[in-house]
Amino acid sequence: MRQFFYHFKSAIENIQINKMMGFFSLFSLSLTLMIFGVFLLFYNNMQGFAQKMRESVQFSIYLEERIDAKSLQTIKDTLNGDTRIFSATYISKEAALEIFNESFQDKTLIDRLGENPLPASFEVVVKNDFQKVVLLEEIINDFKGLGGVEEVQYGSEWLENLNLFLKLLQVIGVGIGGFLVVAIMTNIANTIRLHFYNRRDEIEIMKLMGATHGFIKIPFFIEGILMGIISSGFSIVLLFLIFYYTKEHIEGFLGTMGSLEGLQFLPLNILCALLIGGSALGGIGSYLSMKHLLRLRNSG
Amino acid sequence: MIQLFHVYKYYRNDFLALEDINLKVEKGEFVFVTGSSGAGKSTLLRLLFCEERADQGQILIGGKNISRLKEAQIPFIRRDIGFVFQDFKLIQRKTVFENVALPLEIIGTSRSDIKKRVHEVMKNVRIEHRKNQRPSFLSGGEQQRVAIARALVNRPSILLADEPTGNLDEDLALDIVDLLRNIQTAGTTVIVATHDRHLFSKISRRKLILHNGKIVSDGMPE
Repeated sequence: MRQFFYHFKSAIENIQINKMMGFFSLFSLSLTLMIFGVFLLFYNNMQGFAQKMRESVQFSIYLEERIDAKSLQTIKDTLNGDTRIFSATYISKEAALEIFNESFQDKTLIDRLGENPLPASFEVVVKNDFQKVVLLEEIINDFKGLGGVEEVQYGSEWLENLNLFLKLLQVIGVGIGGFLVVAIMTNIANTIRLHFYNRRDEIEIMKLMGATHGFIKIPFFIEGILMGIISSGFSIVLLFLIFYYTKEHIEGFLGTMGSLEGLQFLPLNILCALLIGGSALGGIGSYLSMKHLLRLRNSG
Repeated sequence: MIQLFHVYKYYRNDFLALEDINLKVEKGEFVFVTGSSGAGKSTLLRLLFCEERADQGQILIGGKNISRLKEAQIPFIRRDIGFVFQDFKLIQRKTVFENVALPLEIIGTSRSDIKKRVHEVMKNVRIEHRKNQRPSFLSGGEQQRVAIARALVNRPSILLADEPTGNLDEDLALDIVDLLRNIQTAGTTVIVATHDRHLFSKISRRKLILHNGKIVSDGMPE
């Protein structure tokens, strides 16, 4: 423990030896992490938005064209007896046509087809407690198996597109994340390398005094972790300031598109993950750098 | 005890720095190693300190063959050997106290022990009044004392000194040699490499003369 304090002090001294260089490396690291933070913020809000949309959309049970009265009654009774269902409205083929005609200006579109192609259906709203995607899918599966049911649909095409968009964001996120991980580790490794060269005479002296490679490496390793933590913390503060000052403008813009209730900042678990991730990258970057440097000096 | 058997050391272009060195230094002995520039004095000390490896032959320190040591074992050998470098090798951004404390920090000595032992050794080499200064504010003689204090702080059984008086005037040089003799009296084996004939002519100790990498004379002065 006593040696840890010695190493910790050495790590702080490493950062302080060249204040300007330390500041610029921390600043560039913070900006790099902040770019990732902006992406996470965007992704997180999009996901929240999609989740809300999924949960507010109810489902429709489309009935077979030639459904018999008995099956129709069974479906009605099942819906009425299901404690998870808040309301179920029967929409006959004729009612469906009326709704369709109200939605479209071209009232003769269906007439021109000769017969009404729209199926009868039940529009079902589930109770609030069950407005979760998983629970909703459970209910839908129960109704899919009933006789006379042609198809059960929930959501709409745009919701599926939104899901696709989120998946695409995930892929982009992994790509950006991977790129930034390499950028952060390279940045930290380079900074540590410069600090190592700045202190190479001291390191030689320490080796002559009987210091092991471990003893020499530990302060640089701690320095990498500290740089990771400090820059992650700084990037979170920057991100929050940007979020705070631009939130209203973005909400106003999105409001005109008729979408969000309100933008959310990153949750605590993601903030902690950013801090831990930043420090881990710092540690790994400095470890790789030190491994390489000490190997070079041994062979030199 | 230090023993060297048929030790050879080559540098680039097949330059023979040491040739067939056979040597025995008893525990607690004081030995001057002398010779002109390039005679091999520093190389001999560097071999004993594992800063360089012998190309042929065996070197035994306290019965341990250090010429066959693995890289990872070298730091542990060095912890039992104090080395006073010609250019002092002090860390300029650290204070005198911190420089002297370094070998103890490396072996993980407790804070209270570090304080006690650093003060004790600084008192012995009469540099205690400069403990909070940085080396650049010290004279050559004072820096040499700090280097000696650092070499002694973890109570090594061997002290090697490479031209410890090289940068000092005669009075200061004799002062430093007195200090080294006191250290030897306390039981430490001391080997001093110097080309200063004037210095060792005044002190009656075993003298080893090197010439072109070979031992040409070994014995007590008449």
